Amino acid sequence: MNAPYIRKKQNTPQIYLDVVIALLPCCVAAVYMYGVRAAVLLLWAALLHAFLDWIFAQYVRREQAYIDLSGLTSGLILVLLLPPTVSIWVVSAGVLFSSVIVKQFFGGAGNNLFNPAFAARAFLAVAFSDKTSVIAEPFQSRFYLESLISGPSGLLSAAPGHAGWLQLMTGFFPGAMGLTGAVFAVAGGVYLAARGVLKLQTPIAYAVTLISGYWMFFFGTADLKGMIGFLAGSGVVFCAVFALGDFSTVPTSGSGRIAFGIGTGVLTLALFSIGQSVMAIISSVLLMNAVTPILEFYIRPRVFAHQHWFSRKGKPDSERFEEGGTRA
Amino acid sequence: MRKLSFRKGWIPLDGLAFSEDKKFPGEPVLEIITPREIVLPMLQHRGSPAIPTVRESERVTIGQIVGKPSSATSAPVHSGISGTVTGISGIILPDGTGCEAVTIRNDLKRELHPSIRKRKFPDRLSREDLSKLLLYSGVVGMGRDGMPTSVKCRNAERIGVETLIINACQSEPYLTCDIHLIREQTERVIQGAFVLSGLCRVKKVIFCLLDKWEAELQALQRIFREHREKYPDRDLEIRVLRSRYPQGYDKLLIKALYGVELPVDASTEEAMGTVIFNASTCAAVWDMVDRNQPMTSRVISVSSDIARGHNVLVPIGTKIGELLERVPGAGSARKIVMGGAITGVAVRDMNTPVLKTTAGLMIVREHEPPRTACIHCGACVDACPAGLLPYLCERLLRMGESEALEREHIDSCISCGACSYVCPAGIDLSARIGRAAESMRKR
Repeated sequence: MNAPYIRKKQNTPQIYLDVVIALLPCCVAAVYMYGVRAAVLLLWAALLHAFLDWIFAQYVRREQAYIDLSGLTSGLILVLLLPPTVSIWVVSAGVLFSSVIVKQFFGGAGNNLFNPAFAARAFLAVAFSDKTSVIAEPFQSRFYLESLISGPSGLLSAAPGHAGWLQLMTGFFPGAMGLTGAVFAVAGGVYLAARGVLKLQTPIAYAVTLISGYWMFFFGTADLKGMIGFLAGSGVVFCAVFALGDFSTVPTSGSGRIAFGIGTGVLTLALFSIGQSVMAIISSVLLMNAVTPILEFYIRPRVFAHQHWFSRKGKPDSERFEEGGTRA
Repeated sequence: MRKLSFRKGWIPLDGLAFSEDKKFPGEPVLEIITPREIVLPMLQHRGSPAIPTVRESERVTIGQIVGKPSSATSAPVHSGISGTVTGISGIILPDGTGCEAVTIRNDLKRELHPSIRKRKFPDRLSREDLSKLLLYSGVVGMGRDGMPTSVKCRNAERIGVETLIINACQSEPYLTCDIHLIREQTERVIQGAFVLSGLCRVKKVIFCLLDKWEAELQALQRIFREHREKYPDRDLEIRVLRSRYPQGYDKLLIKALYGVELPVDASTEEAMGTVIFNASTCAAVWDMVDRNQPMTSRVISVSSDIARGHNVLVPIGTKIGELLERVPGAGSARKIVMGGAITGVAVRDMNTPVLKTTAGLMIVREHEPPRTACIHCGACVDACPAGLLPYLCERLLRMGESEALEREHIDSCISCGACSYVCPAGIDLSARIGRAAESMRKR
């Protein structure tokens, strides 16, 4: 070990464990709503993802002297983004795509350009669009397991009805398994922020953009109830915590994170006006992930005693000093 | 009072995340160490090494000169104990430099050199006398730089500085020796500061303290009020800085005080007209003026994240093994670090002597953080006081992209260690980037 002989206690496995813990409220809610199916899917996806990550690391002989828990988080998030009627095969295909193509091909946890779970969800929406769009009524048929193997059938499908306040907040209405529960996502986010894993710049910038954008977009017809329904019911809260809080795929500097949040918010609103709600969120996150390296390059902290590349006003302190002018 | 600070960095609170003793650093206790043997390296300062003036089996007393300066930028070395010279041999210091060293065995008689006595009228010394005394005293910067104080004063006077800053913000966790001197021996520090201000022909003296030492700040303010009544021509000020690492670094201190950002290699004297001295240095200077006692001992913080820390007064040259015998819980299995726990150097050899620039001795837990791949979490970016992207610099270093590194301004790295401290992946960011920055600055 080199110079700092004391180190912060927080380490990588702990950070990923914190994310898993933060996901637990959403997972519990999903199991509560959709019963055994959700539990099986969550467990299967998480373990398969972690296993595939490990196998791939072995295959490419990547040195890894620690337990990589990032697979668990990606697997859980992927299942929570899917509707409850999805079959285990579709989930497995998504996990394979998420683990191998999105994460490991780019160099493993932390080097991925796109958020693995969100990219895999987009992949599933394209590849299995009919099997990933059938939503079900919660609290019905908790022990119905046939859909795990055979996929959604007409029996289970439900039309999105009108949700009351309590349902809106808790997410107990038909939709993706974890995406609907705003309070559970917020609980996870509060935990992550308290543990110092979630940097709040991105979610806050996202929320501000969404709220202000909502009033501008729907000028005239907008009301408070509609806005809260939009925020709580569409899954932007889950996205704000677990996609915008995913440190690997957002810029590292504070200003970069704010830019990322604003960009995602604008894209989300724009895509929402076109249509489909889940894909609007997911594709806006993926589009912003793609420009993260560019944001990282251009929006960065100012180096001490230097000026920003875009700042042409005045001269840096170093040059003023050479002219001999800074004497106090 | 307004609390000043720079932009970033992290905050080592009293309840240090890595410390098991949450109360630390509450009460610095002073203990005086009498070593059996001391080893006095001839190069404890920046510049050329001193030349030994004693022979083997010669008897020396406390305060006797054992090494004389060899050039204009050099400092003499004095014995801190009375005893017999048992050998003059080569030594490798913790930072890797080699020099000659005089070993003295203690006869426990504590015999003072006849020149050490209380001066009756220290105020009446002329500037020439003071500057000669300072040259003879062997006082060097007791922070990290180790620049002979006489050289620094000469330089400051030549440039014509206007402000003297007493840097008492030891922002590094566990180090409390400066604040200990301010608390227990305030008069020594203040008088020393005035001697230095006279030598540098400076009117304004500013003390910089961290806000976590509230009691000391209040006491100091009271003493300053009395001083202003006694000496109306002296301009004394106190500035409170936010407790934050690395606040004690001189460029960040200037940034906090004046809001001006100086490049790493700029001199504060030329750019800002300020000269910065360490609080311990001031106390050592006053010893010379008041009692004609050269720099033979210093207060260092012996502390750790396991055992309870305290400050000890040790003769310079005391072997760290002998010092650690007094510390409960300092077994052989732990890592011993000379200097602060963040910027210090780990030493294995228990015969390494305490130097003039050693501010502390840390007994740190031997723990390897799990080494993982960088997960791009941005903790280093949030911590870096120089505004770099440490994770990116490290990646570029591994790739050997020297042009890109120059674009990243890697030479602005101040090697403070904040990025390594916060890194959850346990990557040695600071060590690698600091080394690269050093070599880039030299070019």
